[in-house]
Amino acid sequence: MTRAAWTLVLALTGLVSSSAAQGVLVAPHAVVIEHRTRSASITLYNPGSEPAEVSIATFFGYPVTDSTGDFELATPASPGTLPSAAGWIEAYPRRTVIGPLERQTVRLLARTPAGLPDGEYWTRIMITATGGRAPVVIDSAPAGIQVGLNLEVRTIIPLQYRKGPVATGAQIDRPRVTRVGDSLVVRARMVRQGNAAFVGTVRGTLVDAANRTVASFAVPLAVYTEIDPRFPLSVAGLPAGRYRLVLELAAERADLPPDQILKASAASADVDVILP
Amino acid sequence: MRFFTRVSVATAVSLSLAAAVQAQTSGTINARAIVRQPITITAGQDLDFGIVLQGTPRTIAETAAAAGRFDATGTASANVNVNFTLPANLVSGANNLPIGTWTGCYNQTAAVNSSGCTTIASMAGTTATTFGNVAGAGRLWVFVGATVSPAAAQAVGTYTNTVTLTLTYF
Repeated sequence: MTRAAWTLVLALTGLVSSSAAQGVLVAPHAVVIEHRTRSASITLYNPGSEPAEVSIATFFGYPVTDSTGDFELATPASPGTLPSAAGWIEAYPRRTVIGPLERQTVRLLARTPAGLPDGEYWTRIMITATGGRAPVVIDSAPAGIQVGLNLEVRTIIPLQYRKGPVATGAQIDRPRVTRVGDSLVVRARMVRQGNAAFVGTVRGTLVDAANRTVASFAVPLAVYTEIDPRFPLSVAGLPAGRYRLVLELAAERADLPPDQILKASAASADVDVILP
Repeated sequence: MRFFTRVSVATAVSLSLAAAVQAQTSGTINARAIVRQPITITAGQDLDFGIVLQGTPRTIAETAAAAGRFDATGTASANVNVNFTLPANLVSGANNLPIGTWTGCYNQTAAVNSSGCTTIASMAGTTATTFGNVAGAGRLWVFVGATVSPAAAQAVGTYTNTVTLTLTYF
């Protein structure tokens, strides 16, 4: 991509005005490597006015949800029976300095172990950028003390390596709704099917007794093992009465290339909701 | 017939190329691009304490103009997780300059911390902190404040440490 094209992207994302920013732009934000090619690349761009020192590392991790339904990254010391690619995905270069308004392509190469069974394997790519320093001066006579805060930003994106036939799907279980203020908190257990992560979108639709949609949400997500996420849905201004919440999981993502998304059957579940 | 067709096409292409070389005629082509939202996190503004006196703590609130700011962009409504790693001290050799009472807030609509900035309650400590998932329009501004507490006899030196903000894309 040319500098002009990057400038366009930055203008669209509003970053051009942040000329003093330290960090890097990472694209794409999800990587899929097919076994037949065993390689992929990511592009890093420094939108700042100073050089950015960048390092790239891999580690094993996958998204889970905590007891409140928030997403977090599980990073077990050992992947156990989970399919990890962290040990054999390598980034080139692993360290680099990217000048202001310059870009760097990072190659991701898979050095698969012999006899690797068919399936999907996961790792996370961590891009660390350092650059900014905030000078702080403590004045004291006769000598001053210089104090600096180094600012470091890390971006962590998923990588999936696919070998042979892979299949995925997800099942919605135990949908439930809790009223909190003028919103509903929607939760449901989602369990992955098949041997690959389910990457898609969950849509929630609240319909009234006449089957009219009165509120909705759509959130991109990924189900690697199982999750029990939480989704807020505003019901402010809705009259008291009986409603039905329909949850649907579809293998669709507007933010990712279609060829990265594994096809899967849609799943759905619903639950009755009574607004007092 | 098939052979003839191939020759004809090849000839036509050759003629076209020749014409292009000789005449440099103008023409139009269609260009197509698919723009996808990249993921970015940058240190948008340093945490600026300004002048600090020995023995006098100085606080920069997360809602102050001098607050530190991180800017993030991503896909609208995506589940991302933001995690801070905050140092307890700035370090100069064997000397420490305590930093306490980290504070923070985030805004999903504008780079504004004076209003509409949601407090990050879990930043009261000084250790690694995670604050939920940030969905919305795909933009996120995180503001950081802190208190530095230099001792009355704070040793002269250059004090540094690193504040790390990690954006995890699920």
